[in-house]
Amino acid sequence: MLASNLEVVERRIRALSYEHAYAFAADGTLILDTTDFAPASIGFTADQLSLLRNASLTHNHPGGRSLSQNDVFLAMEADLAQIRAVTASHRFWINRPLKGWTPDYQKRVRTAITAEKGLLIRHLERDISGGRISPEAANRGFHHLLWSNLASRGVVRYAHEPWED
Amino acid sequence: MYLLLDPPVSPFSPPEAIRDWIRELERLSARPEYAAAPARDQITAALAEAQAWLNTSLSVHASRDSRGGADKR
Repeated sequence: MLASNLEVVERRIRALSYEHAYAFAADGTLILDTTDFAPASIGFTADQLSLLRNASLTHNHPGGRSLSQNDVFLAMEADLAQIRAVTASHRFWINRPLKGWTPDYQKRVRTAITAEKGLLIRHLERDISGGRISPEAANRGFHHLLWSNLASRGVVRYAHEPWED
Repeated sequence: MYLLLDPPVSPFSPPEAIRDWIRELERLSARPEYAAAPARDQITAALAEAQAWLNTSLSVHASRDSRGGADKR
C-alpha cells in the first residue's frame, strides 16, 4: 500500500515546476500533502513536522537533482523512516538507519557531509582543470555523487532508480 | 516554520544560476513567516553556502573561458 501510494503521487509530481511534498504512514495512509508553489523550497509548520515521525516523505526537485543535504536534515529533525526526491527522470531515497537517527549518528552524518562535500568539490575542480570532466557534467552529477560517495563509506543508506515509463 | 531548501544549483552551475538562487533565498528571507528560527537560520546557512559555491563557479568558469580563448588563439 505504501509503495503503490508513493508511486501514484511521485508520478503526479515528478515533472512539476514547483515543489510538492506528500508524506505517508507505514501503512500507506496519507499524512501530509503540501506545497508553497516555490521552485526549490517548502515550509513546514511545527504541527506538520510533528505528524511526520516514522513517515515516508516524498517530494519533487524541479531542478532535476538528487536529494539535498537539507532533505536529510529534515529526515533527522522529523524522524522520518525515509526521505525521497523525484525528478522527471529518476527517484532517489535515503532510509533511516537501522538504529534510528540517534544523536551520535546525526553528528556523524553532518560531519561526513561537510567533509565529503569539500573533498568532492576539490576532486571535481581538479578533474575540470585537467579536462577529464566538463563543468556541466560536474554540475549535473554533484548531488548524486555526494550521496553515492557517502553510501559507499557506509554513512547513509542511499539508493536511486530511473523511471520505467 | 521549518524550511526545506533544495538548492537547484551546485558549485559547478553557471554563476548566473547561482545568483538566481541567491536572489530566491533573499526573497524568502523577506517573508514574515520565515523571519524567526529555524527558517531564518536555514536561509542564512543556505546563503553562506551559495556564496561559497558562487566563488567556486566563478573560478571554474573563468578558467574554462580563458582556456577556450587560448584554444581559439
